[in-house]
Amino acid sequence: MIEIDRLTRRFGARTAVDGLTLRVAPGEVYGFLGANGAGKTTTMRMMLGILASDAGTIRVCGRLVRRGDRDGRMLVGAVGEVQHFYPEMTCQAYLKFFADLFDVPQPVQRVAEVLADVGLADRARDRAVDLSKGLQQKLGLARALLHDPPVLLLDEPVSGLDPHGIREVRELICRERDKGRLVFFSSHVLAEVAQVADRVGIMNRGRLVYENTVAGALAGHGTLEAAFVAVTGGNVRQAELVA
Amino acid sequence: MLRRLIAAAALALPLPALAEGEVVYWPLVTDGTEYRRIAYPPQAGGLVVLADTTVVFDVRRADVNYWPITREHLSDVTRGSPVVAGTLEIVDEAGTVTGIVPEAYLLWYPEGVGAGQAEVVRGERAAQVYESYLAAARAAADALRDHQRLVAEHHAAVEAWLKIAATRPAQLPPPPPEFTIPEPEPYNAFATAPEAAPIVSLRPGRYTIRLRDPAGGLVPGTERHLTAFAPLTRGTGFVIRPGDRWTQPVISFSPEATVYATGRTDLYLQPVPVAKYVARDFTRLFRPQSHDVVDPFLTLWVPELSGVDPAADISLTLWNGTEQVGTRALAPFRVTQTTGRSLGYVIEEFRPGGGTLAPDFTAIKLDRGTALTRVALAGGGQLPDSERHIREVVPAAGWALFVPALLPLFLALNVKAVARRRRQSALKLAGAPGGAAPGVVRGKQG
Amino acid sequence: MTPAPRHVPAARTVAVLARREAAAALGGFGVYIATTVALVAAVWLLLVDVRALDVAGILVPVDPYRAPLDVALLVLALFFAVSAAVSTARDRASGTLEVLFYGPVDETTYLLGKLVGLIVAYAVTLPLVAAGLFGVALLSGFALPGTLPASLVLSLVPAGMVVGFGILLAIGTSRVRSAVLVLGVVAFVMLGAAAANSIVLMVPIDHPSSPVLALRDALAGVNAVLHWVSPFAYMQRIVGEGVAIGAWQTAGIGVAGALVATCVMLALAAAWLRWRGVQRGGE
Repeated sequence: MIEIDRLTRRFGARTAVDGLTLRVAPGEVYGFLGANGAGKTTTMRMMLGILASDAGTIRVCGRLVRRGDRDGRMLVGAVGEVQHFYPEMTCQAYLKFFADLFDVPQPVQRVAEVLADVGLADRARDRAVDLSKGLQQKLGLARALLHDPPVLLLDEPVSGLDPHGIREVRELICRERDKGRLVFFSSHVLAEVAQVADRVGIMNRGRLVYENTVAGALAGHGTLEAAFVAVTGGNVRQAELVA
Repeated sequence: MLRRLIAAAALALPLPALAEGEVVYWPLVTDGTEYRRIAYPPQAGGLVVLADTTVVFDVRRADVNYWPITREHLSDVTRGSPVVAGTLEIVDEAGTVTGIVPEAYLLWYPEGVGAGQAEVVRGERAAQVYESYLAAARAAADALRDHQRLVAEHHAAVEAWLKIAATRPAQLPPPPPEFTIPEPEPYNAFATAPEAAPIVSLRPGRYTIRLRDPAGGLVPGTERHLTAFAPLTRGTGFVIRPGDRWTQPVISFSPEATVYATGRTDLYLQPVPVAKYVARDFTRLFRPQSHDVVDPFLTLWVPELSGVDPAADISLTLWNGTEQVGTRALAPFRVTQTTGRSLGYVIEEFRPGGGTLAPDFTAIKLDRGTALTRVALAGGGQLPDSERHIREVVPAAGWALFVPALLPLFLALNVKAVARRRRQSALKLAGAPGGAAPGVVRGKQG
Repeated sequence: MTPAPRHVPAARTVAVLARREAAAALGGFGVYIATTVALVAAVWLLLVDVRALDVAGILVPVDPYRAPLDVALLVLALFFAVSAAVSTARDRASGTLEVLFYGPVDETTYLLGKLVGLIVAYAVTLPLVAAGLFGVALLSGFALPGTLPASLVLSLVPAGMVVGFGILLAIGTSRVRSAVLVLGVVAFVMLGAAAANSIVLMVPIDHPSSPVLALRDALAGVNAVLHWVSPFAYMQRIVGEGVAIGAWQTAGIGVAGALVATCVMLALAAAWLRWRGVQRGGE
């Protein structure tokens, strides 16, 4: 369960997140939409406790998220938009490193499991930096799943992926949802969101301006793109949206 | 040119006197080899003296200037500076106060200034020593004058005889007899004029000193801290003269220092008593405002004046590993100039056989080729801190020493090579490159 | 209510981060090249005594390895300062720092992990230095001082301070190149001030108004401050002015000072990192 209550964050004179309130239930896939600079990534960083809020609260699985709360991060598996790896590490070594970091029991076995889960078992000995972007995204997901967290936070998980990659990530999200995990993800790819999300929230200039089930949004506006343009007042460049 | 201009401009700037008529302690202190007067203006901080030595606490008033070149406060103190009279009070760490009234003293150099040890002569004996010094000095001067007069008379007699001889007289008188009266021994001893000041010898420790005037009041500006320090330990050092460069000796005062020798020449070891001090205290003894040594834990070994008696019954014990391989005794040596030899001299053991010859130095000889690793002085038991490790080495070619320095690089190359071979073997075992499934292209994919 | 999340001890996090840092440092060629350069510099200095012995036939050095060891450890310290700065700046610039913070890592554990890892890597180079010097001792005949093991072991403390110093400077920069540049400038000022002070002290001053005097006093003041601030000064004090000549109190005070300074630097680095944030380029 994610509970966000009147969350606010300012950077100087600019308010990146402005009084955000939302709830996401376990087993739900929540699509978090917004143009560049709408406050999505800032919100997700606050949910991870690596950025402090100026006001408001976030609770993940009932635990109040505080800046630097190491234990709180054990509840969340996070994947950023771009993956970063230590150049000297193979996929296996990379996951083993994080498995040790998360103090995962039987780390070698767990690494093999998640590599198989994301379809990278045959690339275990390859250097992570040598993988394609899609495979790197999968490796990032594998890292986020290592410690079996109840919540997955995915920031633009399909950004830049080819159709095969998008399909694989989509399947993986659905699979994790089916396991009862809460998946909270942001994306520009509205068609993708429509396919996997149960509910969507649209951020505009730091505010949550729209929240509905995907079915409800489609019923009201025909497409998510139409809903998005309608609620953001058309101030989003078309190029930023992928229908 | 620029430097000259700067210097000229600088000389035009007068230096203001920092303070006038300050109380300046001007003690006569010794480091065990010589006595010096050291000025302590108020800015110089606490006084530092060697414990268990006689210290004369002269106190004067003088102007004090700051001298930026040495970063010291220099006082314009001389024998003509006004004396600050009074009783010196010394307060030890337990709070015990000892009053020291001024007494007569002089500094007595029985072997002359700069030769041998000086002595502070105190009390009534000071006047006696000074009187006898003056008498002896006068007598020596008189004797020298008499001798010079006799020499002059002899010269005159010889001149007169030569003049007569030049006229070729029929009967030449006998010449003056040969002048055989020896020149009197030079009188080198010296004594300073007696003065009065508080004199004391202090045990090691920290004290507070101050001056109380005859009326019993504290003389303002006279209270200072004083440290009396003593050697941390005493031992025996060596002056080592290589046979092929006997005028260029090396010193080995610290027992921790190993003596390295190439073994191509004999070595002559001259024992020297040495003492170990806290370096900062010892440096500040004669240079109280020195900035050279700030580390209070640094120590140094210094030679002490009283040399080893050439007739002392001491010997050097030689070891090779754990095996004692012999002993060598202290002996006198004389250096004789030779012709036709590469060195131009030979060092021979001195054998007294009359005449005026004296040994050039007294030392313990270690013959070239003697296999040894350690020596130590013995004189009724091994002398403390006299042990020295001696290593005979054949200097290696410079380039050869760089070979071990390349060890880490060599190791890294090997480790990398082994790692690469293992990785390649692992990849081969995995089948396809990277173990990738058929159809999967390795490497960066878009 | 979801049960409380599993707790990962901070020490474990630090250990895991340190292991990776040490492995990364030791897995490259840099550390071995630095150790080789350090030993070459040491040999070069030792050659002064070797030649002096060859000429004079006799030599009584208090410790022929004092200056060589000082220089060798200084070279290694410089390398590890650069390593720390590069590694820290690269973590941020590449985004791996943020990824680490998705896990049970906070500013303190991250910095401690980096520090410990690089100290471990430094410790691994010490046997190489000792082995190299042993070989030099065999060839030159100059016996290694009995204090060598203590010198090497205690050098871990100022090495830690050097690493902390590199980390602190790198926290404030967003690029690897900037980190190296800043570290280079600061290290140059620190080491250069000491060298300049030595040189100026040799210049004869013939009048109190000489401009050299002002320079000398300014450099003396700077060095007095650097004496307590510069990690390179601590390395010199603990090894060269402490252990090598048996001044154990000096070494002890140096060790205590270096430990305190390292803690202060890490605290500053943690506060700075917290203020700047862990994302690429800072906030």
